[in-house]
Amino acid sequence: MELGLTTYKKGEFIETDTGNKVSRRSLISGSQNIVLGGKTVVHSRCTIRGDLRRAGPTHQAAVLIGRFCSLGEASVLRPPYKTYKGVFSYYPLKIGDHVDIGENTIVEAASIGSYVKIGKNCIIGRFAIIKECCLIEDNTVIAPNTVVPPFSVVAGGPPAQVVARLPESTQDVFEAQSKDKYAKFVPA
Amino acid sequence: MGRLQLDLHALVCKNAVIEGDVQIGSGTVVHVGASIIAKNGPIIIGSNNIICERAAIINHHSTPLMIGDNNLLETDCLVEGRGIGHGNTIQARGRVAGTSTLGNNCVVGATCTTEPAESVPDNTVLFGNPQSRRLRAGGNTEHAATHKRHLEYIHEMLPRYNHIVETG
Repeated sequence: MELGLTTYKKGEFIETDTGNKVSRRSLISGSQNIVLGGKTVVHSRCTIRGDLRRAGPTHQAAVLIGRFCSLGEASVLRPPYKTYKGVFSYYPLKIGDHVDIGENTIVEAASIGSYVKIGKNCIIGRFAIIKECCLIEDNTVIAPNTVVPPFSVVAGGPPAQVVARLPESTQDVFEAQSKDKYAKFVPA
Repeated sequence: MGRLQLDLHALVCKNAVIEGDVQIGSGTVVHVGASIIAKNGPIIIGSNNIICERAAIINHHSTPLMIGDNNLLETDCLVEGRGIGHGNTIQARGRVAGTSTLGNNCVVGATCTTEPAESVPDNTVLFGNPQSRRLRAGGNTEHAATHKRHLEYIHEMLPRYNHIVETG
């Protein structure tokens, strides 16, 4: 699947040394608690809640995102919370490499593996764990605490179900796609 | 911006959108990017509610839209209706549509919506696809305890990282 060039106004995105491109119109709180791995694109109106971090004197980041990820327009990344042994706390949200998150998707997962594609308008419930090489189709609602096994195609919901399996080539395909998408995201 | 009345202990982020006649009670938290828009009648929000980012509370009617105490409105939910009671949870993309009202201790599940004009009785849970409903079993003491701790945590952490509207 060949994509054409996607262009943006030069002033709209801030590019970091490691190649992250962050839209000026994104809404980022607690930026000191957010780690972007490099060559990750944060589109406009994307909300990342780095301020909701672990309680107590920790230096743990609240949101960790790998390389070659794309966070779609108006998506929301919000760390999950729970009470554990009587103590309320938010827990880190970890996202691997080559993860594509679609427009309007809400992510409250505990972890998302590498080579994962999430469609538009999805809701990923609190403390869900998505393993490597998964495809989450548009409008999927994954229930809280769900574990999605590797190479699954998930759709429907609430609650979402595994509807198909992905082939072994998925890793290479998704990696090529995310690199291609980053390379073709250029200033006008 | 119209008339905004904030209680001394309310925590409202500066980049939340608040328009029209809005009254926010003690201990209520409004996260970044939430919108509370009183188009005609006023919006009256009680105490100790949590309103997450991109949640929208819109009053199209001329009568006041009342929101009780200890409610949790999650990301991207929409409250139009005529009001909601106490201790409710509206999960991500849940909707209280049209002229509906919500009782007490209800849960509107993710992507679920009420009928356009109904009064949802106390302890109702809306869930699933196709959407169904049942009564909540065993009360909500657990939820209430978590909500209390959640508020304590947010009141401590939110002002450290965000710009808060000055009260009083």
